[in-house]
Amino acid sequence: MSAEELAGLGRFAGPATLILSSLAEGSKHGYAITQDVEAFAGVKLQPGTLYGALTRLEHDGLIEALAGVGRRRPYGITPRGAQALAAQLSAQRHVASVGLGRLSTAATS
Amino acid sequence: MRWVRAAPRLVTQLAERHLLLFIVASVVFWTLLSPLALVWLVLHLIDRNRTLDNSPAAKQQRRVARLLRSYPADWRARYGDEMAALLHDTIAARRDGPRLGWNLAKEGIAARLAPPARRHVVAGACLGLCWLPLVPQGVVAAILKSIGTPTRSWFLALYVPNPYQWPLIATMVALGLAMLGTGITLARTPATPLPE
Repeated sequence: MSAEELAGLGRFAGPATLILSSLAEGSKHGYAITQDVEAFAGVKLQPGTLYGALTRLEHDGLIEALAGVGRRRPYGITPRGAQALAAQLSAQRHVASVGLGRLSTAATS
Repeated sequence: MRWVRAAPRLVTQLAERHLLLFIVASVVFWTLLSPLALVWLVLHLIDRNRTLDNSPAAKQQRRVARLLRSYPADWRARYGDEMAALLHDTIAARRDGPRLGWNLAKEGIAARLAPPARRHVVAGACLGLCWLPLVPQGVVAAILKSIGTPTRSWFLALYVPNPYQWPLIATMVALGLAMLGTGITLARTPATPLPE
């Protein structure tokens, strides 16, 4: 599993990382995901964008639909989704550390 | 419905064969029938509105149904209920606005273009036809206008009044580029069939 799996989602790669990060904590339905993402990332996911990404993630087997209560259907992260998220976040952490390191070098020189 | 489809042909035949009757019928239509039809339409809409349930819950229900209409039927069959629940929550939290409608319209169109066959048809049409507005109606028309040739041929922009020629050429170029961009985007991005 590599970071390319999420990058391959094209315009949904950003929302997909946020959604998987939210689901890493436990299964959630659509509105709970938007609330959680806004709380930890400050990003307001619009319903259309959220379901566009959920459709892709479910199709790719990175999340799964669970039995819901009423009309709200919760989604949970699959083992494959957890691996893809870990790979993506590791790649982002590497980019962040390199970028921050270069910024501090430039500031001191 | 047959009458509706046949109407343009019948009107043309009437104008060609019975010009006087056509003129009388036109005057009657535009002075009498069309205002009556307009009044009937307004009364019908008022009556329809009165019979509708105007409680806030029913209004919200209708709004959610309208918002979901941009999605294809198979998508709504799979995700419609849960998306409706999300939209009710979103509207109840007053997080709705023009962006919500725009976002759903955009994603609905994307979902309609998700089936590979439909995607290929639209991509093929865009890539095959984008050259018409871009090259002959845009670039070539711009060159002909710049050099001031009297030839107008089939360049649409050269037939409109002078102040509108450059805006029309620019519109044609923009349309061609938009079609080209859409075609390339659709051809490059993989389609997402609905999960089993």
